[in-house]
Amino acid sequence: MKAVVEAKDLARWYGEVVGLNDLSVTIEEGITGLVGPNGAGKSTFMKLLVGELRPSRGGLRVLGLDPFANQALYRRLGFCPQQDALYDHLSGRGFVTLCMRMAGFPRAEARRRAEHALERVGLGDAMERRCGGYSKGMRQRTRLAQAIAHDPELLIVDEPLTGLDPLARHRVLELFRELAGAGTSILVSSHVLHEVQSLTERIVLIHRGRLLAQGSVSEVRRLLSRHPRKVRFTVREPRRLAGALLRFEHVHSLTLGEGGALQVETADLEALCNSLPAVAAEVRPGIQSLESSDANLEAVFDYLVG
Amino acid sequence: MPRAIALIFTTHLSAVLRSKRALICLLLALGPVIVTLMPPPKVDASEVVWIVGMMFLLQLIAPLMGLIAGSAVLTEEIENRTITYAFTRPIPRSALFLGRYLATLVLLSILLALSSTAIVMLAPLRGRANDLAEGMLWQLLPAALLGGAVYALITAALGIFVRRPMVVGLFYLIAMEGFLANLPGSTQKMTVQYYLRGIFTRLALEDDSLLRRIDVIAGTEFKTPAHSALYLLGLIALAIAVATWGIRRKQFVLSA
Repeated sequence: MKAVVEAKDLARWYGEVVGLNDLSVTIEEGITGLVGPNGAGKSTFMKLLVGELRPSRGGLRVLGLDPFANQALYRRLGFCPQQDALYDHLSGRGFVTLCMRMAGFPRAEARRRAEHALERVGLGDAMERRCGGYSKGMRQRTRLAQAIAHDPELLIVDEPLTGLDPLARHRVLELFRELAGAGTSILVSSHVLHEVQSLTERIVLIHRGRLLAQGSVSEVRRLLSRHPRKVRFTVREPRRLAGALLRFEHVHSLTLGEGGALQVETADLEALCNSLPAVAAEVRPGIQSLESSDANLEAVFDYLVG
Repeated sequence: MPRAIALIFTTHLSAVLRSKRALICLLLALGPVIVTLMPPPKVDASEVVWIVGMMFLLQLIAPLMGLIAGSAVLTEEIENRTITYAFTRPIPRSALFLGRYLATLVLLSILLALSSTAIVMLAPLRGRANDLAEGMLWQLLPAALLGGAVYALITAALGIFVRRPMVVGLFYLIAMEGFLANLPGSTQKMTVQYYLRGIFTRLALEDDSLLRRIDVIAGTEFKTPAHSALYLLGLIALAIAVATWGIRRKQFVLSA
């Protein structure tokens, strides 16, 4: 796959405050989630990617180009910023049309693209209203519309789900999937980790300005083999199952809960899964369900950032 | 580039004309008009125009209007955090600055032209009408328009390099245009006021008018109006060059 972003030893500081520190990462085509806690450096990274800032040190290429104030790149790039800012005196259509005119489209084409993009984000009925009268969610979707209206090769979206109601979130996530299906690469940052995970398996984890991990959620999880994995069982006879599992060395702890719940911490999930059929046949505990509750992004993230 | 400037200009013109800053500028522009009606009767109408025009409109009102309107040119985009939309599009960054500056210039030109015209038209109501020198409007008007354009541009350009252009601009107006311009001697040539006076007052010095009795003016050798205008136009060109250079290189750190 082709790399859309290549950062090497990338650093950016604001006076004595480090925003990003020696970040080396390659992001390929498709959807990639950029995750990290507040102040991790996600927004700094995005501002470097869209050329609002210059790196203090290191190299950065976006679609093979140096991003700072690069007009050639901006024809191929869509950016949806986090900040809640629009030209409030313009209508939604007027605003997105202006952005398309700035993107170089003639008036009629700019207007057509603006209307189409606003309809795609669910603002078809409200596009004539002034942006100043929009709700927070509508403003967010307007920002998204201006980022996608020119069919960019790479879409960079900073916290796109903030302020959206569940229906709008679902619609935006569907839109991202549609865009990705049509060949648009998307780099999306979000604190809503399970929604990032529902969108993509590929993540870049940043913490304190450094790259903490990169890959699919399960790959990242495998890298952390020293960290015990939790498996939650719902069992008819939890004590019987707990007794049988105690003899395995990879089982670190067992916690009994209410309603037949049993939580097992193991250093080797694969070994546990392999041994389960024999254990079940031997003690007949009546296993009703099991899930690896910390295989999701939230758990990986919590573990990594302590 | 011209297309991008025109796009930014047309987009922002109506917003600039309807802004709070425009209202403040309108009130400021009314100031000299009111003062024109205040002197005691039987004063020469020409003297009223000279005094109100030079001391009030050119030295106080035009710089203040330029400061207030000019400081919004880029700072407003930064404070509203909308600068991202123009800076992540394939247009020259300087188009945003120039387009918005031109929209501001339209506002200032309208208000300063109205104010200048009103001063010249109303002065005979209080002074002796037959004493109004011919062509006074055509001396006051270009000086006022150029003054507004230069002061707004200086403040707008400051917005590229400093976080609070209005504060720095106010300091400049007080220290340079308010103090230095009124000290006798050649240091006046370092100020915009000197050249505005060159356009407006030079004719006054050729006769025995009131201005002959004002030390600062009487002791100063002014350039010709054409030379003064040319100097100010050169200053505008230089300020635009510095501003476009600065905006191409500047990194704008916006708070989330």
